[in-house]
Amino acid sequence: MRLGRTLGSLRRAIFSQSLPSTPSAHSSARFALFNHHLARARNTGSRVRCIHTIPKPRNRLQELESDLLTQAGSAETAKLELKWLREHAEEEHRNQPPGPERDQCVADCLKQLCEERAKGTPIQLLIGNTYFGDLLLHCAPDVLIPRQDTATQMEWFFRRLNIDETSFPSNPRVLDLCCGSGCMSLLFAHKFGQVAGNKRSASLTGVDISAKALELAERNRQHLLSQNSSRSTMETLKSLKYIKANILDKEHYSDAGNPELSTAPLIYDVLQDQTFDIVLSNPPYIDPRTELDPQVRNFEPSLALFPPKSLNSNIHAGDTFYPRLLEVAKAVKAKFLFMEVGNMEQAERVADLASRQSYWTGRGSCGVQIWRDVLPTGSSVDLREVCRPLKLDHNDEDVDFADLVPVFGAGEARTVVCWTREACSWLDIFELGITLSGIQIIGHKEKRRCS
Amino acid sequence: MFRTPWICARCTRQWLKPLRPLGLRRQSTAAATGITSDTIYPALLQRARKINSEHHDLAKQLESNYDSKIAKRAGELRLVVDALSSWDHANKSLEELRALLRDPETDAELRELANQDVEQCADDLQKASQSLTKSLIPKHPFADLPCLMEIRPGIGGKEAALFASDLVHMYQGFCADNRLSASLVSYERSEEDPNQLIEAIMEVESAGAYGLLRCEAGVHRVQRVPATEEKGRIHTSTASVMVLPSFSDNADAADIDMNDPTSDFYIDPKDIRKEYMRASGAGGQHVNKTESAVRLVHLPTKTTVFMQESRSRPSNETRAWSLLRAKLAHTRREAREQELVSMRRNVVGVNRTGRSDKIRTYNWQQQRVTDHRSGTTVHGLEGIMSGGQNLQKLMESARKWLTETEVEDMIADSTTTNSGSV
Repeated sequence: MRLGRTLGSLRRAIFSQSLPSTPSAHSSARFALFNHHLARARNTGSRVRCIHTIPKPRNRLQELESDLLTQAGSAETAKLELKWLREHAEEEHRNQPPGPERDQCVADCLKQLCEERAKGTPIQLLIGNTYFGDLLLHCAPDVLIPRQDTATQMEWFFRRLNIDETSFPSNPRVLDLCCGSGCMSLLFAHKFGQVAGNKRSASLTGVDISAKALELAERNRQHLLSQNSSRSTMETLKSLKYIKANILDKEHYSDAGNPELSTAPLIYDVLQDQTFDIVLSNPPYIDPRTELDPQVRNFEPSLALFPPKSLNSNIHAGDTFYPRLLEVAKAVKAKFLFMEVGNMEQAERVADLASRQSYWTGRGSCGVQIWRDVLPTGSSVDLREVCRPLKLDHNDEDVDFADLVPVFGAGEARTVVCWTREACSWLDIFELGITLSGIQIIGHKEKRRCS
Repeated sequence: MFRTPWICARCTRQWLKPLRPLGLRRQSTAAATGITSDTIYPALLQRARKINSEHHDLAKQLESNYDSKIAKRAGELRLVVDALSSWDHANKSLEELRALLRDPETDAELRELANQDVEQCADDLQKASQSLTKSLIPKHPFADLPCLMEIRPGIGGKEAALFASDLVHMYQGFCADNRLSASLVSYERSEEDPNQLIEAIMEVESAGAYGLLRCEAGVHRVQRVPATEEKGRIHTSTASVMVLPSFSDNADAADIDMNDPTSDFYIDPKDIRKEYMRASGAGGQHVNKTESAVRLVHLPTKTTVFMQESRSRPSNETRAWSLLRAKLAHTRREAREQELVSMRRNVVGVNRTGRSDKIRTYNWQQQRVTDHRSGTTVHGLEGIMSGGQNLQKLMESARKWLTETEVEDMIADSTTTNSGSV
């Protein structure tokens, strides 16, 4: 009896008149239905009742897949994206009573999602969340979607960190500048809770100019608080604050025509004389003239991608934030500064800038390093193999020393880190001796290879 | 209005299945197996006696001091002990009856009664020895676990890839028919031709799936005119199936310690190269990629697993690890078995059921499938290729063959150890 009913409803759902009549819509709905039944059977541990009554899915799959293919890049990714969207559509309608109505809703929802995706909307915005390291974070329009690359860099930081080193503060104070969705501060809280004992916690402050970003960051904080994690993480998350401030000057945003930006309080007024141990930042760093993937340019906030024009004409178009970040870090007496950059040229410029400041001085050499995208993941790594020295050539008359900057990993440069003498032993890689064999020289204009 | 909705034939069959008297068939097939004779192998009997005394000791230990591990072991032995006692009982009464019959002083009435009883008793003894043999066969340590099936095309190019995907379909159908929950973990297609399968991994999540499906491991051969063939020639191609126990969730249940270096499942983290898939070039804010794929390479054996099904990299990593563990454990076990086999080869010929042996032939022209291990041939290819009843028949025969070889192994084993000790 039950079997008859299930089959009956299945057949009705597939061949009912209420389905859209265009061939593609009809078949995609049918396919969604098939997959839905498969998934449900899998979830409940029962078997698929009638696999034979439903046509082979491959052709149906290709129709939806081809929609996605335009944006996803490869057939493989399109297939995966379809799977994720389908799971999302099913999740959305989980609370409805099972039956043909719900199946229809799921099919419609999936179709709509695929159409949106085909227009270029990032999949993270359609699903509403994304993974950042171990964390699942909410996403929203008008806030930069967290990038996996940033998480990789932070994970590498925690892997190399000597947490029990006496010079490392037991309860570090951390400032996250341009926090956006709050991903860096939240991952810091999570990772710190994992590696530090239960008695330690960090006090974190996130700063951003966008009200929408701060709202999302707060939502993400609440979301993580509602999950069970270590005591240290909970303590850190409870004390985590997100504050609105303009990190640059009023003039930078004065011609934007947006009163929200031009009237935002300035960073020094907000922080007053607070001090911090660590400053993290993923500022906007793309030169507005760069050719960009339309998915990014059209669907992500330009406020988070392109920095405003610098008042100093010597500063490169994408670099507006970096002199200020170095300045703020110095003002809050930070011992460690972590800045994301866009590519090797930018990393060289930022490293050059930092190495000129005597504040960032390690033991015997300048306290600056560049980390690339692909960093070794194993526990035992011969650091000599993953590190290449880079020679900063200070041609200017006021600085007369040339210094070596270690570059770690492979791929595009992603992070420039700076540290002071007090933080010399925080990370094991800070104590690496760099030799001059086969190095690259970077000047401001010319590049040449030294043998 | 009250018309019964249309139901597909296979579903009806499935639905009606429990109504079929199962007992009848079992009896008839049981008689055909080699291990049902009432004369039980002396080596097996000896083993049973040994187990009996062990159980006796354990029971004594339990009386004075309860320990859950000992209790578990005793519970496992209990089956053998019970079977042995009923066999002893049947054996004894049969002997008594026979003695009675041989005795010339027995009067006619009693003789008639005894004659009637002898039949009954012989039947009992046969059943008892059957259950004793069955209980003595060592249960595969992973038989209760869910399993992973890896299906790859073998020799034969495109046609082999087609056949491999047919096999995937067949096992999916089989799982659906037998109420096993199965899911495709990965389905890797060729980059040049998206219809061509490179490797499919299927997870059968139901408990006991490994015990059920492990007889499927090996090379499956197909003889047919491929869809890609233009001149109508018959091709012979192969696909290989590997069945691995899956330890994704219930590692605790199987008493496996992953951190114990002597265990098959131990992997030294130093031997692993972990790669997060990342296309080179621009990254960071410039692009929005959903890259969550993980590749693990076990350097000493060059075993590689690749996982990209989930949006979360950590969850891909966990899945990749469990798959790698299962793969390595399988190769280690197989290597050990291989060693044992070569040690025993002079005693008895043992077939290994690894990836290298041809186990089955699917012949389209004759519409038949032959299992080379048990020698069973079944017709009705269509039904088999959709995972129906006949496939079950084939698998049953293969499992029976497996048990028989295991019994032979055990006997050979005990004879070699005995002769060694003398």
